[in-house]
Amino acid sequence: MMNHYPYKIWILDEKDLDESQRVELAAHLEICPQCAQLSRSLNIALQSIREATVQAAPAGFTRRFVTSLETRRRDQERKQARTLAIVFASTALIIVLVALYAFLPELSLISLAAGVISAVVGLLTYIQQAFSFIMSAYRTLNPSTLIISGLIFAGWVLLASLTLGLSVWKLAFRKSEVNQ
Amino acid sequence: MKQIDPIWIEKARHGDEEAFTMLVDTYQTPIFNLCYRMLGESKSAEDAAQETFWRAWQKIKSYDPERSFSTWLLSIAAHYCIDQTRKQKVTLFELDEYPDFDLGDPRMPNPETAVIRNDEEETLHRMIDQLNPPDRAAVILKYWYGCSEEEISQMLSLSVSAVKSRLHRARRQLAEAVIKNQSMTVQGG
Repeated sequence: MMNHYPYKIWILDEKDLDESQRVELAAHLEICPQCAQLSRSLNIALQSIREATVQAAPAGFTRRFVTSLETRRRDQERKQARTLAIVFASTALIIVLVALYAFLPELSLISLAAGVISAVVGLLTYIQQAFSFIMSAYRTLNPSTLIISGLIFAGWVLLASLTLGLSVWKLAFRKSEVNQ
Repeated sequence: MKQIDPIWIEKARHGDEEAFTMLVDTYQTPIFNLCYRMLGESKSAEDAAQETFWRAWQKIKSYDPERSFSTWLLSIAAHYCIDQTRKQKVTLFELDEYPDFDLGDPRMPNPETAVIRNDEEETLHRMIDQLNPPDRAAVILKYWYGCSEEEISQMLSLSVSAVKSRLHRARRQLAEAVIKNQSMTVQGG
């Protein structure tokens, strides 16, 4: 099997070879079709790169850059303002948390978690009580009273929904009409 | 590459927008060409070149006048294009990018020459496109801009030995691409 070392490296590294190395490489290329093909192909590739035309910038490039400067500057200022606002908000939050910790020493994560759990339990108890009240009313009241109560409740919900919908519509659409 | 009077660079460093516009005008083509060779597409290349000049304008106060201005600009462009290529691999080449023919202009190539040139461009682009972005940048800077390995190492923030090994790998891949292309041509008849 033919040894391609160091010829492949000489070809691919574009090394400045001395006279004896040049002769040695030329002799190897005469007898080794693989290295000869590598050398030939590399020359073709590099020649096509060197001969490729320089792509000129499209017409109006500088003018477009000058025009975009103002927009870019504004975008950058907006970005900086946003970053500043986030920094201020984060700082304020940290200050509030530190102040809470300093002035309310009894406040701890455990007490906070306990507060949340007790609130959730309270809410669940309230829902359960309301459900038992409805169930007991269902059992004790006669059907006609139940139907009338249900109708009054449904009517009230419908009226409330309509009022709310009307308010939202007025705020959303009438305002945009005024703006236009 | 064109060189500019250092007085304009100095003025631009002191915030003179008009002087910087002069620099944009002078270096637009080499920067655009680098971006075009890196990204292979005119629209992305123009965006990248515009972004390069914007970044240069923002950082011009930190530019070291001892360094070549064109090298500094090319470095910004190369880094930006490497990032862009990594973000979104742009493989599409605009095949409709034939130049507009003006038969009255003797400098314009005739349509046949233009088509051949476009085919060559496409082959060249496919060959370069297979290289990974830093290798591609190293090849472009070496063979289009004649930068030395030391200059490339500074531009791409790599060691000289890393540049050498990247160029070695890139040359091997380019040669293999030519071999593959030739064998496909032979097979295609």
